[in-house]
Amino acid sequence: MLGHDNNDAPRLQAMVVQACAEQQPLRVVGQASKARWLPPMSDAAQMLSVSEHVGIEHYAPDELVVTVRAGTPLAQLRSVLAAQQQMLAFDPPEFDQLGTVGGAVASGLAGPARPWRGGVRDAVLGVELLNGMGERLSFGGQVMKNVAGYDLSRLQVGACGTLGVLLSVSLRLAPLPMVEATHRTSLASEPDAYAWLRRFAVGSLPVTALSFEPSLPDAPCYVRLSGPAAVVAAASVDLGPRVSDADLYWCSLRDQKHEFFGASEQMQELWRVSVPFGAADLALPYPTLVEWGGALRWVQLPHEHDPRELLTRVQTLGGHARRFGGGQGLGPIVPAAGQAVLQRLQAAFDSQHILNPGLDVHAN
Amino acid sequence: MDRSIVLQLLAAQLPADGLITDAAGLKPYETDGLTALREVPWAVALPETEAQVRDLLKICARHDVPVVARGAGTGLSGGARPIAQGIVLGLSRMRQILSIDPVSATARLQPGVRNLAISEAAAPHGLYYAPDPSSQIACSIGGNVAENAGGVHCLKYGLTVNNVLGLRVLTMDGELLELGGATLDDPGYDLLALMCGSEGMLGVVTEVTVRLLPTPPQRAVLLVAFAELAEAADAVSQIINIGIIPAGLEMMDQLAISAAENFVHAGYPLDAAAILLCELDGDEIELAESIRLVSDVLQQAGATQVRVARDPLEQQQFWAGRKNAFPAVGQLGPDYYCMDGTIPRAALSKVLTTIANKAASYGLRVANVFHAGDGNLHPLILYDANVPGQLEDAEALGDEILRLCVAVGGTVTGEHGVGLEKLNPMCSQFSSAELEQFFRVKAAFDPQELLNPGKGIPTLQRCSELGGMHVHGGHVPFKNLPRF
Repeated sequence: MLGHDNNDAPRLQAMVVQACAEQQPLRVVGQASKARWLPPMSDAAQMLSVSEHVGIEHYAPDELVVTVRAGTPLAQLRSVLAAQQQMLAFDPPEFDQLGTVGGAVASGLAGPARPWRGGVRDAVLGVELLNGMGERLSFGGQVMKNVAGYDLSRLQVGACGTLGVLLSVSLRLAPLPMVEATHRTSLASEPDAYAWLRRFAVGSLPVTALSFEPSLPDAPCYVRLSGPAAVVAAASVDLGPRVSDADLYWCSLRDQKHEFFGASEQMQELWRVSVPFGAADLALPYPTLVEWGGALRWVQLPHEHDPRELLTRVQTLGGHARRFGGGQGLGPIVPAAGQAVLQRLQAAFDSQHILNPGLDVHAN
Repeated sequence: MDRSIVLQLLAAQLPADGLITDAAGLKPYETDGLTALREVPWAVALPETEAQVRDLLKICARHDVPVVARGAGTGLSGGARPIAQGIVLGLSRMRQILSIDPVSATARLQPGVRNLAISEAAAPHGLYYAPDPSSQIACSIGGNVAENAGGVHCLKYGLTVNNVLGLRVLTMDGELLELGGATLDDPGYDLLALMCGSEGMLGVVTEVTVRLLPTPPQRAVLLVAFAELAEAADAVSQIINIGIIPAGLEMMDQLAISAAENFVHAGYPLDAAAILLCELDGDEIELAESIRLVSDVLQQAGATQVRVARDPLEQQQFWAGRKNAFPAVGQLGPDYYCMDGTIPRAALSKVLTTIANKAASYGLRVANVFHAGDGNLHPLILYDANVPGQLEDAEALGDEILRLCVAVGGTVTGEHGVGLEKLNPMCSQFSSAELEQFFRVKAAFDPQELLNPGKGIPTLQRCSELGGMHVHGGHVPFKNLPRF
């Protein structure tokens, strides 16, 4: 074991078994660092915190895999991995410097390197969970290639705990890059900034993060290159000056510490827009920040503006948008046709519907 | 249900030659790549559109007729073996490449498109589709999704699940599920991931959107020899420890080396206990740097020989031995049985020693071909079906090998799927409660249990008869749940 270690699984299991018998709704949380991103839950729900189920159960750097309890803080895991020159490729956010491994998997949110290093689902190799009946089950494993049974571990990614209480997860790791350099350039005079971003994002340069801030006067673009020193040096030609505190910058995007995200919540609401590579400018007069080489756009929408304009535009571009940060959704994003299957699937894991009820992961 | 009525209804939805019912026509569909298992279906339906697939499924659902979806029929675990009183839904006529979009680097495909055809169509744009199972000339993208197919490059570029962006899937009652798309994430349950590797038991894939990658400007192939197998295994770890993920990293043991060398004359060193094939890719600078770093590590790890292929021809030659390893080993004896376990790499020496000892006790030989980077082991058990008892011995040895894989923290199937072949070993990997969870997921998509029934997940009864399952105190949960 590395670091703080506590096995809270027996208590958690007993709580779920009892809640199932009593049909008592449970609100499953880690450190609740993403609570403001989720809709409020009913007061009737009892808190089930996995934050005391912590510790690294197994770490094999040679195999690029770690098995870690769900309540383990991301920060702790990151430092253990960094000591072995490894990292979580999906680079999950730590809002308010908090966040657990379980929460990272349950929310399915990935950081600035998502298009190049993969998302949460790409890293999940296996899970141990409690289903809504309190059964302790393991799916997947610690190996990358595994097609035994349905892939119920990746199914947990983004399910927000409604398909089970995560106890531990096995994650595929990536080596830290040998060298990393971020350059800042301006796209203010670029006739089509989004086409420029696309060429970089889908090209063969060793790009691992690519952001664009069109709402700032000089429309800065940040390009992160990673790889062997000679490769990074060769690729950085013509990319503008090198940024000295680059890690801080990328973390500020990942953890929403960047001043773009600091806008008053009274005035605006934050929307998260996911579009295909190469999608054009949203062409809407709202503050926008672009990540993932153009495939992820954050939009600050003034409260008085009707979001349907944004939604229509995003759908035209072949993408989808969701409000990021509480409030009610705008109806289901899954066509009615799929609803029955989704409800049966949820019931297959949670027959009494006690896990995070009211949290509609399919709504905007 | 009446066969002739059902066939009439199906025929009415299909083009004139779209329903095969005669014995000669059904013959090629009796089996998939696991040819030991055969069954004659009622009929084979060959739809050409998604609407036809939907109509066929609805008819079958209404009349309680089991349906087995089939791509190119190259699967190795019996997943596409027909059901006796059921229909085979062949998707081979839905083979249009609907679009290649170089802007978003994606391709939209009908399920019957061959794996290799995707990369061929993307090549003019400098793009390719990364997963490359050995059967890529023939196997189809729909089948790749059903099996979550891998290939020799998945260490760096991932499996099918890591390269598929969107799916259109029909459930057994004909409901269309549109999953994912050309964006990098979607809110809601990740049904896309669930569909990958579900062996045609949850839905029928009618369209696939995949991401394409830029073709690496250059590649290098290293042929590395070791006097000790354990040294080869350690060398793999050391390459990964310096932070390089090779595009491909394959290992072969002595029996596999000599078989391959005799078969294709790849230039393999016959005196080596093990060889590694290591493929690196990137632009000129990156490649030169990677070759230097990897060669240093290999020398330090005790390699007796490190040869960098001089040109694309020699690269092809080095790979030819590995890619032909199965037929090459096939030449060593009348029959072979291919296993597909995955193990943590740290357990490799132990597992290979145990396999050799167990094989000796059965009087059988085993050649080992190993996707070394990702731990996927393919022991090829040589036997002679004409010698009474040898097939049974080979199966028993195979079963022991898979149990061993599970015992060291691995899995019974890395990429070939469970199908019908690995139902028994599944009992040693999953508890009764876990199997029940699988059945409930199946029932959520297919309450009538008509899609590829009897595959993939063993019944509790089967497992308890085998004695391999953890049935706690004789208590079987969910007694009333219908079972296959």
